[in-house]
Amino acid sequence: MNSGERDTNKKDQLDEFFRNKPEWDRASFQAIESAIRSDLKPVRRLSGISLFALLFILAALAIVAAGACFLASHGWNALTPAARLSVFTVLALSAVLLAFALAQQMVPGSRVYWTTGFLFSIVSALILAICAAIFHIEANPHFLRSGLICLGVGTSFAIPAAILFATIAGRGVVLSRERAWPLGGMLAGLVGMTVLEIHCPILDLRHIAAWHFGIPLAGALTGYLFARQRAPE
Amino acid sequence: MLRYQEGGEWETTFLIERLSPELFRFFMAQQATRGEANDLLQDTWLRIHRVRHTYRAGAPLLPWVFAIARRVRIDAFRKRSRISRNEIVPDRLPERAGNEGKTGSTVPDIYQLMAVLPESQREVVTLLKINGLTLQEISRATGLTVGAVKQKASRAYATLREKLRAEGYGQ
Repeated sequence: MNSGERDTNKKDQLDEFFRNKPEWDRASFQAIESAIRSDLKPVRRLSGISLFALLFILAALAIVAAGACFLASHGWNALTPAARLSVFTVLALSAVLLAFALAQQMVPGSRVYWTTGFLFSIVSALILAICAAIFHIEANPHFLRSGLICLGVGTSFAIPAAILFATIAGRGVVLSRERAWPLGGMLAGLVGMTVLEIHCPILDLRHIAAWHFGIPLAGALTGYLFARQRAPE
Repeated sequence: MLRYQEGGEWETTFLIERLSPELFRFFMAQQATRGEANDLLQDTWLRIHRVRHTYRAGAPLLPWVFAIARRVRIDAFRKRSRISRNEIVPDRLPERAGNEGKTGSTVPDIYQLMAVLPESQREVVTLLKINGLTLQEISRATGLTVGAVKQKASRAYATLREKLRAEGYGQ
């Protein structure tokens, strides 16, 4: 017997196995039908994923704009024009990727382009790469103190961003909290990081990598932990 | 599905009749008893009804339906796991339905053989071979990439063939 025949035999074997499918018990049909028909009314269909991604981005921009208004723009002023373009382009691109991925989580059965882990890796790599290219290690005698201040400031903008995103996402149905909440957390954290890049004048690479970038990471982790803790409805 | 969203009664009945057997088979193949499968089926339809506004015109229906069914099953399993920690397990568990009425069949019981597979592989194989979804549809329903779906299916087939061989079928 050659390998072609062997493969055919294997295929026939499995196909015959799967032909014996379990039969449906129609006993529950009446109960299902009457429960649904008793509550049958037209619904307003959900808008497209692109629209929700846009809403997430607009919400993020609104929070960042509020941060720019309320806080001084020391960070923005400390950067060269080229550095501003590079840093904020990468932050914007990362936000767009996360916003689209989060919008997809609102609709069951959406197309899968990347896994959540791969997306996090891409976003993290992009941000860290641009930080390494733009910023350098500088003297920072108050590393911990300045870091905690930045952490507080960034988080105070990330939290309202997270609330806004959750409100927008509530229009859809998030089936996988373990995927959606870390995405939302990271996006909210990115909002906080963007506010810090505008406000914080410290250009020390270690400070930015640990305390500014730490906010999206903390947001993703917080989202994941909350998702794991939350009991199913 | 669009007419169901608009409140069409006949279309609703047709949808339930058309999809329920596939959903039932999906749950049974995931090692549920008949009673559990019926409960999961009812829960799935209630959730489908609650979130029917999220189905978008032109999108494939089966991935949408099975994504919801998967979640219902996972949530029920987690809830049951929490409850069972405080319960006394009976010595004799409810029987799972086999291929009744197929006396004399030389093909092994589908549930018993699928039980050897890890949950994620069993799910992929169920959707592929029992429910007839394409790889792309399974990717959408499970949130896995198409590559990951192919890999799980390939591994599952290898395991099932080995199991069939070990039990002396198809020699």
